[in-house]
Amino acid sequence: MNNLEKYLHEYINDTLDPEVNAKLGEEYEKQGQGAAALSYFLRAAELTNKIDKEFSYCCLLKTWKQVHKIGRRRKFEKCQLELAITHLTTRPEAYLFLSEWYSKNNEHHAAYLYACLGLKHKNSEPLRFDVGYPGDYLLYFQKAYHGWHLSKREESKKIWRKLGTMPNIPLEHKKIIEKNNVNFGHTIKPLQNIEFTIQTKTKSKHEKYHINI
Amino acid sequence: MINNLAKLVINNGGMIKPLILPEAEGRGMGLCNVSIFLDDNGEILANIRNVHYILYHDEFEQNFQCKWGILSYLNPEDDIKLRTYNYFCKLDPDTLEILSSTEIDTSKKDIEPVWEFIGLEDVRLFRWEGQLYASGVRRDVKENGEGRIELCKLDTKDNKVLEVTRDRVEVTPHTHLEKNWMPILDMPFHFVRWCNPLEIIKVNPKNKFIKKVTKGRIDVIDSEVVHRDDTPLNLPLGLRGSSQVIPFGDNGDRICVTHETHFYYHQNKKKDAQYYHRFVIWDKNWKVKRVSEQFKFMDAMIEFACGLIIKDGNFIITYGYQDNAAYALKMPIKLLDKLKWDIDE
Repeated sequence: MNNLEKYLHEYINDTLDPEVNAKLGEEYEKQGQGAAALSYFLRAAELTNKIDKEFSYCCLLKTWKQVHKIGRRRKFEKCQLELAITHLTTRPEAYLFLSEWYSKNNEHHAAYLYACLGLKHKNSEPLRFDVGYPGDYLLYFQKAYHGWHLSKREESKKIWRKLGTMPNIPLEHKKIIEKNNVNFGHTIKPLQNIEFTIQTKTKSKHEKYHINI
Repeated sequence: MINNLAKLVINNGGMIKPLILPEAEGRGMGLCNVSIFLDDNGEILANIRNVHYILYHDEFEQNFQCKWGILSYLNPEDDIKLRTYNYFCKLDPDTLEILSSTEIDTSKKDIEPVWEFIGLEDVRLFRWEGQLYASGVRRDVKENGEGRIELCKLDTKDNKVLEVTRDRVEVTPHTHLEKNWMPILDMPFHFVRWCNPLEIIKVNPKNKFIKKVTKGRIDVIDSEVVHRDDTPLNLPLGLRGSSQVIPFGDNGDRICVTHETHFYYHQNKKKDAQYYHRFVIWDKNWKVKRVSEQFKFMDAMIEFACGLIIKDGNFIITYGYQDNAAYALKMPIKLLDKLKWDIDE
C-alpha cells in the first residue's frame, strides 16, 4: 500500500481528523493532484480553525499553493493569501507570497509594504507542511528590490550587502544578489529581480477545441 | 443515513482505489464523476471526467470563503468556461489500478461551442448490441445552454478512443435541460429518465436527422417515453440518476445508484449543496422493490457517482469527491444486508 492509499484509509477511518486530512492532501500534492490536495487541506483548515490557528493557516496556504502551481487564477490567489493573513497576522509566509504577487504586476509600493510586514515576523518556526516559503532572505530581497524602485537607494544598498553575507541562499538567487551588489551605484538600470513565472493561456494544453468545418 | 459508506465497506472485506491520471493529463485539476463498465471480454473500462476547474468548497463551519464564496468553481480567470475532458481508462480487474488512459478524441464531431459549459458531462459507459457507447449531457451547442443527452459510439483502436457518432436526443415536450439519464444495460436504447416517479425513455438512433445550430450541424435522434409510473415514492428529495441500471440477481431485478441534491443558501446567500446517494432495486416489471437509506461515500458534502458494475460477488462503484478526486469502491454485495431500507417491499 502506498502512502496515498495509507492516508486514504486513515481518512476513511476518521474523516474528521485534521492531521490525516492534511497528510492525505500532502500525498495528493506530491502526485501533482492539486485539486484533490486542495479539498483535503481546506477540510483540515476548517477542522483546526479553533484548535490550532497556525496549522489552520498552514493548510490555507496549502490551498493557495495548489492553485498557484496550476496557475491562471491570480485573483483567487491574492484573495486566498489575504484570507490567510487575516486568519493569522503573525507569520511571514503569506506576506512574502503577496509581495511576490505584487512584484509580478510591478506594483512596487504594495510589494514593498508586504515585504516589510513579513519581516516583522522573521525567524518564525517553520510550518508543519511545506508551503513553498524559501526563507526570510526573500523578504529582504523583495524589500531591497522594490525599495530601489521607490527611491530608497541607501536602504536598498544596505539590504543587498546584508543579503550578500547571508548563508543558505539558493545559488540562482545568490547570483542575482551578487550582481546587484556589483552593479549598485554603477548603473541607472533597474536591478535584477527574480523571474516569478505566470502561467498563461498559451501554455495550456487544453485550450483548443476541435472544429470540424 | 450512512455518512461514510467507504468505512463500512473497508471494514467488511471491501476495498477502495484512488483513481489518478498522470499530472500531464489531469494538469492538477479535478478528476471526478467516474463511470465504470465491465466489458464482455472481462476488461474493466472507466471514463474519468477531467474538469477545467478546481472546486473550492468550504465545509463544516465555513469560515474560509474564497474570493467568490464558500462554493466556487475556480476556472482559469482568462477563460471562465466549465470545460470537461473525458479520459477512457482500462483498470486492473483485481487491483482497480489504472492500466492505461487516453483522452477520448471527439474531433470528428466537435463544433465550435457557443455556451460556457463545454464538453460531454458525466459520461456513462455501456455496451448495447455489441457497440460501446458513452452517454452524457452536452450544453454547448445552443446559446441558451440547453442541455440534451447525447449518445456517442466509441471505437477503440491502436490505443486511441474515437467518438465516431454523436446523436443528440430530442425530447417531447420541450425542456431546457435533460441530464443524468441512466442507461439500462439489458434494454438497448432505453434509459431511466426519472426515478421518482419512474420514467423510462426509449431513444431511436435509426430516426436520425441533421439539425443546423449556431456554429454547425448536429445529428439529432428522437425519443419516446415507454413507461411512466403514476405514484411517486414518499422520499424527502427528488431521486436523480447516477450509475447505469444493471441486472441484479436471477429474477430479472435491476439495481442502480441514484443521487439526491439538497440545495440551500448559506449565511452569505450563496448557493450550497449536500449530495446523497441510494441503492434502488426494481423487479423485472419495474416495480420498486427496495430503496436504501441515503448514504455518503466519504463524508463530503459534494460527491457524485456515475458507475456501477457487479464482479465476483462485489459491486464496484465509481464516484467523484468534491469534483476534485476520483475513487473506485469495491463493496461486497452481501453488505446490502447491513443497510437500512427506506422502502422494502
